[in-house]
Amino acid sequence: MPAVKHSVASPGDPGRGAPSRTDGKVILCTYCDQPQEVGRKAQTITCRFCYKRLNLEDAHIKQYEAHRAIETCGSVLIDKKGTVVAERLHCASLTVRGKLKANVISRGAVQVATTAEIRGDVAAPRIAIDAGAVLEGRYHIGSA
Amino acid sequence: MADHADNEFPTVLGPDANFNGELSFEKGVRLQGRFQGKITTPGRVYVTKEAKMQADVEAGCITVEGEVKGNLSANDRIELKQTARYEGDLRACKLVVDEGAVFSGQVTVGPEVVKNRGTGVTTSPRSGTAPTPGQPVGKPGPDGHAGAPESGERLAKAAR
Repeated sequence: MPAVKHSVASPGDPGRGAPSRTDGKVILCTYCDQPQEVGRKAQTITCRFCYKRLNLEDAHIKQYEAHRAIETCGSVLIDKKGTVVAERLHCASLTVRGKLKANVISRGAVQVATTAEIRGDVAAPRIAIDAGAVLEGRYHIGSA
Repeated sequence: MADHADNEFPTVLGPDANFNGELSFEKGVRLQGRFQGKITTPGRVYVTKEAKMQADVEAGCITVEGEVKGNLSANDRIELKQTARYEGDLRACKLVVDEGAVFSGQVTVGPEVVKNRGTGVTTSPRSGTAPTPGQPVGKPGPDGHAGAPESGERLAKAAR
């Protein structure tokens, strides 16, 4: 059985902020941008700083899906046959092979395949676009 | 090797050059210095890493490694390499962006984009049903419905 190490929270801020488990992963809150460590298998958590519910699951979309918003601290993969229509899509990273109509904010890299079609604004620190993708919208790529 | 490069880019703006104005040519240009103005060509435009350009470009193919501000329009493709810094609106048939490129602006990319260029169409690349801004008012639209002024005339005639 794997040993789980527990670190002691800092005395100045008991129970808040300091990551408690070393076998977890660090995520950034979608709402307050604060980093926190969570268990690897956790699917949802409540942010320790802003107390909002955070979805940690990765999304793999293979068919048509319409949502008001997709907000996850995990990655989103839209497959070739997948179509997503949403008002906004917030994620840690995004790979698009199908169709996407949403305003995208990604914390990590966005990968756009040849077969992809994206309509909406995209903000991300990094993007890779393959030739053949259909794009329409305002793009803001880079750290600034 | 050098011959091949010369054939592809017979025009070269050197690293110490500072060009201000309008440029048009047939084959291709390699920009290594500073350029400000407008470029029109059916060929290739290659903006090297050390180049700085502030221009509107209409070309067959555009490759950016340096710093560019302005609107780019390509009949074939636009390539933004890893070191590219780009700000402006972009229209092309194909767009290839390497991870690490920094850019911001309106992007319109798709096979229909270049065909619609010049007609003033700002609709989505694959939607062919939207009426053009230049379409006369009153004529039946693409959906078959008559425009308001013409239908108004018909009503007036019927009333008489």
